Amino acid sequence: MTTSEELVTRKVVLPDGRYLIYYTVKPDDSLVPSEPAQAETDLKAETRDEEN
Amino acid sequence: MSELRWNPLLGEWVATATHRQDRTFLPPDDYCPLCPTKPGGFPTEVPASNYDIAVFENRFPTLRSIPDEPAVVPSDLYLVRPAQGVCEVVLYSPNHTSSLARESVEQIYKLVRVWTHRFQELGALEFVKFVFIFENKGEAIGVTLHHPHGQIYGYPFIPPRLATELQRCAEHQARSGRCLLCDILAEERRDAKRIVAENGSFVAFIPFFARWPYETHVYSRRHFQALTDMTTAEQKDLAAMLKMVLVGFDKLFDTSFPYMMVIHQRPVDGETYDYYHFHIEFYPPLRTAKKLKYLAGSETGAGMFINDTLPEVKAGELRAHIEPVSG
Repeated sequence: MTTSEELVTRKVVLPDGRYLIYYTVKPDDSLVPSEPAQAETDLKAETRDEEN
Repeated sequence: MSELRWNPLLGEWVATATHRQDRTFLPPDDYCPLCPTKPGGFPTEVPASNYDIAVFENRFPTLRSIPDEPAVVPSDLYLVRPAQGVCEVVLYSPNHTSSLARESVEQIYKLVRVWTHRFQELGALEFVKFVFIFENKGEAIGVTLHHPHGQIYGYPFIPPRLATELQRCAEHQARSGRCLLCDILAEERRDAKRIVAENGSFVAFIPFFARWPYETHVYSRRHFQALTDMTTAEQKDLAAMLKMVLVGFDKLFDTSFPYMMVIHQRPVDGETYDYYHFHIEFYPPLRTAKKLKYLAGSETGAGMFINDTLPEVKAGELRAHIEPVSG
């Protein structure tokens, strides 16, 4: 599958241990520059854990 | 307390999930647990508001990745297994008063992208054999929270309804060399009377064999098996098709139309299902603006649905409320 938009995920662990994932679909970064931190994630649409 | 109990009479699993009796039931709008947490307000399930779509594990799950041990002892006849699987909630928007029908095509496209990602992620779990994406909408369906949301179940087996479809498709393929759903789609397009909407990649229709008055199916024109097989153009066309059908539903009776929406796609058990065909089915419970279709004796006790309406007539009614939407 090819796409021009990137799916960015941000995974959070809730106090009771369940996960919560925020999804943001970013426009094609060749058209809209991404912030550096986002660009790294945009490449693979990786999920990263964060403490809540 | 949650476990899977085997029904030897029907050859299917039943889940017990007694903790779900205590889940939040129709809270007031200002106490919605699915809204973003407000500054100084009570903590909801979702601390942030800056997202397109949010997904989280259900607080009252039927299936868990690390399940409880069954509380009953099995016998040769009454098999029991842990209720292992996944139950997720998918928030379509931070906006409490929205609905999928009210969301833009762009937002629905984002949802399609998220569904695809969840299918990939949950499908990779060893204990998940079928990823079932669905939405129950409206109090008529038994919805307990009005915030626009759907759900995803990762079942540890292929559920019986899907197993029957797969078997029928495999038999048809063996007999004719063709896909059963491709043949149904061709038949519906040839007849044309039950077609509701079409775009470049999808066709919506109330099938010849509809069990509910406004039961609407959305088939992909191209033969493929899962969300992950779609091109970007098809994802956008699917979003546009869902928007057309959902807005048409709402216009039928000038109300926020209740429905069950289910996505049928291939299992994720490692087997090959080339004969199967991705599609979405809607089961709206209304038969008129004020009357519900109930699952009564024949439907529940015998498994035979009685449709009080003709699909050809209902398709015409729904088609009259469809407005073109581009992807």
